[in-house]
Amino acid sequence: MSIHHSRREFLKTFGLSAASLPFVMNLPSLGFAASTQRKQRLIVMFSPDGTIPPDFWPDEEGENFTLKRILKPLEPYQNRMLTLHGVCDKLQGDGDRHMRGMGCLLTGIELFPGNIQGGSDTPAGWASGISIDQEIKNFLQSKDETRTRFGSLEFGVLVPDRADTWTRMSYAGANKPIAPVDNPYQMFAKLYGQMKDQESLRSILDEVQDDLKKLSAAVSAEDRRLLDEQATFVREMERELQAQKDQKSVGHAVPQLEPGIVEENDNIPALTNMQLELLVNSFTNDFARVATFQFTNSVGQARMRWLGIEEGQHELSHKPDNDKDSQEKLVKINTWYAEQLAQLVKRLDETPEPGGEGSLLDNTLIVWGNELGKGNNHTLDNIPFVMVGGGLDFKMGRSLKYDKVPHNRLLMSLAHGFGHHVESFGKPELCKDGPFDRLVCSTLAKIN
Amino acid sequence: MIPCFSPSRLIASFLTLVVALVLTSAVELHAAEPDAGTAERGKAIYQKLCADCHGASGQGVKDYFPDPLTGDRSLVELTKVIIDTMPEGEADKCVGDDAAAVSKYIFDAFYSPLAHARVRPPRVDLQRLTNRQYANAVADLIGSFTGIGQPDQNRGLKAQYFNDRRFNRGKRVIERVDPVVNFDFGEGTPEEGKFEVEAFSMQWEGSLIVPETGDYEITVSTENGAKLYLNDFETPLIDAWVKSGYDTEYSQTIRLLGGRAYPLRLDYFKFKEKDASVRLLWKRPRHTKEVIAERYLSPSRVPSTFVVQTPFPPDDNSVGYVRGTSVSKEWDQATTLAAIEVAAAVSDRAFRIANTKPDAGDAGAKLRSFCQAFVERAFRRPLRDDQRKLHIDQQFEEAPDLKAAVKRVVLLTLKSPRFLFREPGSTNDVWDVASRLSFELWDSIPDDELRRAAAEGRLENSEQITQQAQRMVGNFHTKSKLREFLQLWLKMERVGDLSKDAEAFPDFSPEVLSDLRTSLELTLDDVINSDKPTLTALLLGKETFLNDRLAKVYGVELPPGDGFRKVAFEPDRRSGVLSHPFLLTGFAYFKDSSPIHRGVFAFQKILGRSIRPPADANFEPLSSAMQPDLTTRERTVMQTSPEACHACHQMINAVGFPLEHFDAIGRFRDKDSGKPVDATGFYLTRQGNEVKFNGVQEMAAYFAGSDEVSTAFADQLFKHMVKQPVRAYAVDLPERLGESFRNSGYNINELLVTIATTASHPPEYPVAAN
Repeated sequence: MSIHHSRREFLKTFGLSAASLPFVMNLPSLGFAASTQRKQRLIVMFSPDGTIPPDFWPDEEGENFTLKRILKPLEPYQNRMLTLHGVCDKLQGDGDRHMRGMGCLLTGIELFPGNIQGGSDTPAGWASGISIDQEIKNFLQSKDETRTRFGSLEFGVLVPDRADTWTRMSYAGANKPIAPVDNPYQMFAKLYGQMKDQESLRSILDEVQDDLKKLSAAVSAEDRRLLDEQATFVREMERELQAQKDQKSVGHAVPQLEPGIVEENDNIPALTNMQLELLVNSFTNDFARVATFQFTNSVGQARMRWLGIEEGQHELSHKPDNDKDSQEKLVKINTWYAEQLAQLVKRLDETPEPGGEGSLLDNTLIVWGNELGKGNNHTLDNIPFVMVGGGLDFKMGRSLKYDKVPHNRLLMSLAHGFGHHVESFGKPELCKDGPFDRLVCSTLAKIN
Repeated sequence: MIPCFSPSRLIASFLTLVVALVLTSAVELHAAEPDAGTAERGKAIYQKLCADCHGASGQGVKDYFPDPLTGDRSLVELTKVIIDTMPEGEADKCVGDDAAAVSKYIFDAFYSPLAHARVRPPRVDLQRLTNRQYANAVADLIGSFTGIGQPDQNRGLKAQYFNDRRFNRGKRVIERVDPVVNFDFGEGTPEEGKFEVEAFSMQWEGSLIVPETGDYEITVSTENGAKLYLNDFETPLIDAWVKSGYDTEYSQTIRLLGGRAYPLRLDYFKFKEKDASVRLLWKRPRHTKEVIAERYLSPSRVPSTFVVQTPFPPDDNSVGYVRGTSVSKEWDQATTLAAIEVAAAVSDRAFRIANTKPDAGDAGAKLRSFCQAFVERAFRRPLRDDQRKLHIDQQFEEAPDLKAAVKRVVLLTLKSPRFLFREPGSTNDVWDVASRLSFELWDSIPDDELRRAAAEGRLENSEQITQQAQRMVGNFHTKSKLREFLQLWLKMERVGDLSKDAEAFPDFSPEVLSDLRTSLELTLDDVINSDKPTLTALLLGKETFLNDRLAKVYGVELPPGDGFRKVAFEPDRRSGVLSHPFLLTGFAYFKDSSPIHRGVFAFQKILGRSIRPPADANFEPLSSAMQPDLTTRERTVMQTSPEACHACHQMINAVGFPLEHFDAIGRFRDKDSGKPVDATGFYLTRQGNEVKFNGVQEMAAYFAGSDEVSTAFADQLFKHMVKQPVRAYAVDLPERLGESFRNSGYNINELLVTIATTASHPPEYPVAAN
């Protein structure tokens, strides 16, 4: 049942801002030629419960490094990726570490005190500030040349149907968590619903015209005027829809979704694939420049039976280092996430930039993060941050090692990479040293 | 085809004994009858002296006097105007018997409303659904499959209290009905000894009864966690489950249709916070924020209602009532967007309604039969074979899948002129009759019983139609439509945000204004919900509803109790709605009363007279500060004394002055500017009789017995219900409706039945070819 609570919400759902139909029914024009600067995009991917550090971090620092087991799937893109060891979530305060790890990951600021009780520490509420993806989205949406239909899209895979500090990482502002859409059909409707509606509309307008004609003949001359006027409007709409169709036939195909995939644990691979396709497609159509992609939730309990693992991920993540069997399973689990990332990278890489040069990957930066550094000790140090793609003029193809620096500086670097030179992001005390200079290589020739 | 019968026969069936009304306080003065010349004499004078400017039959002449020569002045007044002013510039050319003869001719030939209707008979126009009708039709179309949220008589919310933070049934310690949700437990618990201080939870369930259509801002105020579900149990309207930071007020706005009940549930829990409190508030349209009162809450469960969210451009209201006589590009686009919105909602629900599943073998057949019922209810008639093929079969054959087929059927249906227009190409059959009855009384589509009556041939004669109308008048839809009418009749929607001089009225505030509006709404509802709602009760009722805040401002002693209580409010000074302080406050200035606003209201709305606005309408009232020695009445007389103003204002002021005992916030006063109040006034009837009265009680008593007032009420109610010109059905229909209204003892419900029955058969509707 979809009852819209307010006009505003309805209009939002339909992606409308004015009640003029031609505008409303029109998808954003595909006038790529007009933009002179290259597009820049950001994807933040999240997987839960920490990693297995020895099988994740490269031993070497610099351009020559060897990928360990977990990151092995990214090998084809090694020269376009960065690993960032030593970046830590240093936020203290209310909430247990799974909560802070999630709520502060993209906001860089403490949680409010509240009524959500974790496994330890004091109860907490939502994060007390905006998240970096939304900050960048707002920045891009504020300018004509970078504004897109949605600005940002929040994808999820099997996110539990409850809103709390463990299930939300994107925030429109303090106390304003954004729910990811984890149902691909719902995401499809959001992205392409209008287009489908236009098709249906086109198919019925002829019949409406015919009926108006029939009725017109059956009423008095005075009343006919009203029906004839109405017929004119219907005809005009038909013409406008046809014009739009002609204009868009040069546009981009709507992805085909396999029907009937139910949201349940064993469908995680299929759901992931569908959501990735929708993400790539939404970028191709320039519906948004920012996206998040959230696997389950903080404390996520995926049971990866398709890897032969029966236990839930969170349960496994608590096992001690000397439990070799569990460690092995966790390596497999994290490798699976890396494979999904590699699939996303591959799809972006093989998709040419519409109206521009290179591929989508050349103009997109993906950041992969986690709410913990390591599962069994719940550390917020050494969050497994990996970046892939050429979106932000970072010098890629390196293993970077930092000395326990706050992750707020990484968040600042992302904003600066978009030309959004924030003085600080999140908790100002953690931003004193500014963005990471080592990410950017000043001699690197800008594409374009 | 059903046998033809005339509206007059229908009305005749309501005629009972004429009740003679005795007016005690009003004095009637008979004006002298004019020496009526023969019609020929008057006509000859008219053609000679008047036709050049007014046209041969009073239709107007473009460069001289373009407006048709019509109005509702009495013959006496008209004669006087001719003597004094006509022909323009040569007023002495037509006086005495000549003036009387030409005036009589003009009056009977085209000037009077009746004559005008005979010369240029208004017609019943084809109309589209008004916005209100569209929203109701869609809600009830879907509701006819999923259930309709009807308000009932129970009040309060079902409440369960748990000694546990997660609604654990085993730890339920209290079950009861709470009148409102307005609790502050401080550092304690709902009941000492029954709950742990650290954690407890509550759940309130039932329905929200919504008085009028509009945007409602709902607020949950709590220091703890809460979720409010309204009209949708899947997605909360307000999700404050996660207590976070220092916010304690959570608000959302939701558009709701008036007269209906919506399912509601409030979940609340306390966990470890120091304090505990929870309140459920709202801001109704044109009201201030307040705790949702018991009268708007019911413990009964109701189905949810589909409320269309697409904004529509405003309806035509140019002739004094809302109607659907015009279409525009904006409106057509709104119907398209709304059709898309409804199609999405219906296709989401279709499998559940049709009791099938996408992969079930019978899904196609079941959905087709659902769709057929959907289209027939939307079109208000059974589908012919060719229509079924087009609207159902063809859509199912062409659409890629079942859900898409349902969507296409809904789109085609809601864009169809057979849904959007009222009885297009009418053949006057039982289905048209059913549709007219339901739109007239309900602003919505026929319900099950009305459809059955049509299908079984039980709408063939006036008796059967009257029976249906009598059943339908008791329905919540009619009450809602009547409430809307009464609020328009009293111009309540025109009173917006207003402020008053803080020095003169220190107790007045936005909350007081909101309470005043509530008080009048409750007074109207009290009449509407009585067994026999009458115009007499509206005009002469001595009781109204006041709460403690109003009682303080107006110096009234209230019986003990909470909220609004029904009391006799200054029964020896006031009378009915005319002296209700909300209207007196609305029809007044910042500091002073406004006899002109009050007079225009009484003249137009109560007496049903038409007035043209002054040519130059930018008048500032004379300020009381500039003329401190004069009363408001004296200043008003002074300002409206010029000849150009006087002709109309002497009539208007004379029905405004009797309210001069009430100041700018409707408090009683004996003195104005230090002088005794003069509340005398008069009314010159359409017959030319002058009636005098002193104060609101005498005036209201005259109104309550005046044929003009009851006829004007019936006339306005007809237009509101039917949305067509009354005289299109019979030139003397307003007068006849007025008469039958009086004969019923001013019973508004019986008047509604008469109106709906009369208009169920328009007199001159073309017979369709198809």
